[in-house]
Amino acid sequence: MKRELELKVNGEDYTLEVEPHRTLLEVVRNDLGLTGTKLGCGGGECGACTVILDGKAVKSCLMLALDAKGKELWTIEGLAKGGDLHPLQRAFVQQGAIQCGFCTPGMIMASKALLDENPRPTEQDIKDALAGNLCRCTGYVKILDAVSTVASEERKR
Amino acid sequence: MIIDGEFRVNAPIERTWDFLTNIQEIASCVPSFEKVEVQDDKNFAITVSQKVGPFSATFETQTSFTEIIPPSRLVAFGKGKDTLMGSSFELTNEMDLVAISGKETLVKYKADVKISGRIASVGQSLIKIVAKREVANVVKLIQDKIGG
Amino acid sequence: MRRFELLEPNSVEEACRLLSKHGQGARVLAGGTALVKLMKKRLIHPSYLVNIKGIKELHFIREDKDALKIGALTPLREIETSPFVRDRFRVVTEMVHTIGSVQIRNVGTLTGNLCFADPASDPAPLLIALEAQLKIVGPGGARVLSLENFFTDFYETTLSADEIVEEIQIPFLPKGSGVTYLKHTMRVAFDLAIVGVAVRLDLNLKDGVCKDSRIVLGGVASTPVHTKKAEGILKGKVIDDSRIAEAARAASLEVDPIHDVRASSEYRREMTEVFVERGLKQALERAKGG
Repeated sequence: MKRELELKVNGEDYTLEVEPHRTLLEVVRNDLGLTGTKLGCGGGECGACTVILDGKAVKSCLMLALDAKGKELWTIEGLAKGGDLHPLQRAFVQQGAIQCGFCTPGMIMASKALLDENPRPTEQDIKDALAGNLCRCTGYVKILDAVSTVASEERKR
Repeated sequence: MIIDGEFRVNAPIERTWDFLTNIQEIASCVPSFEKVEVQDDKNFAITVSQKVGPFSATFETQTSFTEIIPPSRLVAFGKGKDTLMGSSFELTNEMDLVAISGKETLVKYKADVKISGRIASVGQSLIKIVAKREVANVVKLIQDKIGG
Repeated sequence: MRRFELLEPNSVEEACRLLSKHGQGARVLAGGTALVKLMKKRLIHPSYLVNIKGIKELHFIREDKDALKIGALTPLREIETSPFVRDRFRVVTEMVHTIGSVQIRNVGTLTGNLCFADPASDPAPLLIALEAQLKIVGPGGARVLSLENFFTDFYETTLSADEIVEEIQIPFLPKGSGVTYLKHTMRVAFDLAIVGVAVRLDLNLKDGVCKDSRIVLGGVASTPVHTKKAEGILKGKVIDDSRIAEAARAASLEVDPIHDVRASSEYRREMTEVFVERGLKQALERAKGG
């Protein structure tokens, strides 16, 4: 039986009707059409489904959609503003931190959650924040560098 | 996976043989045999059920005695599925009886258990531990019941 | 995932009533990181989920004069970043940091981890070494249970189908105590322990004699293993390297480790000795004020 789900997604209010067994990932991709968030392992291990819920990075494939009720959700689609890439997106593009791109939205959302909470992370802080995100292409170095770059740009401000 | 071993019972070989070939007697010593339906003296429909924590599986099996050489060798073969769990079960159990004396019998067993499908993802090692426990339990119950 | 009915009680009493009503067909939903995963894999099929996240009174970290108390709904990440917890129990902060990843810790709860009773659970051996207790509530009332007596088997605890763990109580350590948790994993992060070793030493600071100790192992058996013989070697003695080596050896012989895809029994036994030795040395340093 469907239940009402009110939540804010990328700054906009939505009212949906979803059944309890549906995950947040399913609803984001299928009901909201926001396919930037990816289904990877489906078991909370690869991080491709990472979104930011009430300021915290979470794995949307392990969350019931109804548990997002009354909360604020940010997905990768919400980062660019008026055609301008978010600093993290720009750094990933410029520094070659993207190959196939499948892990990228999850990596960026996890990184954004880190920088929102801790604008001056150490290298270890960045590694800890991204420990739950897997990449099969890049070998991680350029991803960590891209996040580092954005962090030090922040430091200069 | 193979679970093998041997155990002694305080009974002559004939009594032991009679017990082990009587499916209702055996079933009373195997807690995971939830239900036994006798089709004839060699063929049975047995519901095998096992639970570990929140995980459980119930297999509807067709089981038969495939080798019967009284009073020394008994082989049973059972095969079935758990449709809810999308899993399969297969068991070949070989038993060889040796008379130690007029009052004591040695039973050697070799059980080859194959569990596949979704339930196997809780880990074959966990399944093996559970299977070994069940076997140890069954052995004890048989010894108590035959030995008297 | 199969369909289920989602129940959302507003109080612990209501939650217990619902659990009682639906028995084995119902499961408690807190963070859901373990539960939802199992349901998606179709390894469990509850007809009812009792979502306790609406019971706000279960979300807290507080202390009374004897113990730190953590409510059932407190996410792991909150415990990890709490300056309060770090100040009182640095080892708990360190241990929580090794669980899963940030995303998991933002949602999963410490209580949920204990109730799931994975044999490789990180909190379990450490909290047993810290002599933690659980406050459990059911239709019949409340009871306090030592965590040591909570785990019965793989993924099994003494919790009845109609009970909920309300809070975890961790008694404050006396002066001269040193506690450490070492997790042996293949990967640097986001991995289950092959062996998890929690070591606690209570020293008499005047003469350096060990008053008491706890050596608790995770990941080696169906439940955490409390190696009492190894502890017996240390009790009432001054702790030096050779005593530490003796205790570590004893601990490795006291377990009958499982053999699985992550490691063989022999390797687990070997690593038990290695990590108990390291843990004892570290705990000793911490007990002395290091």
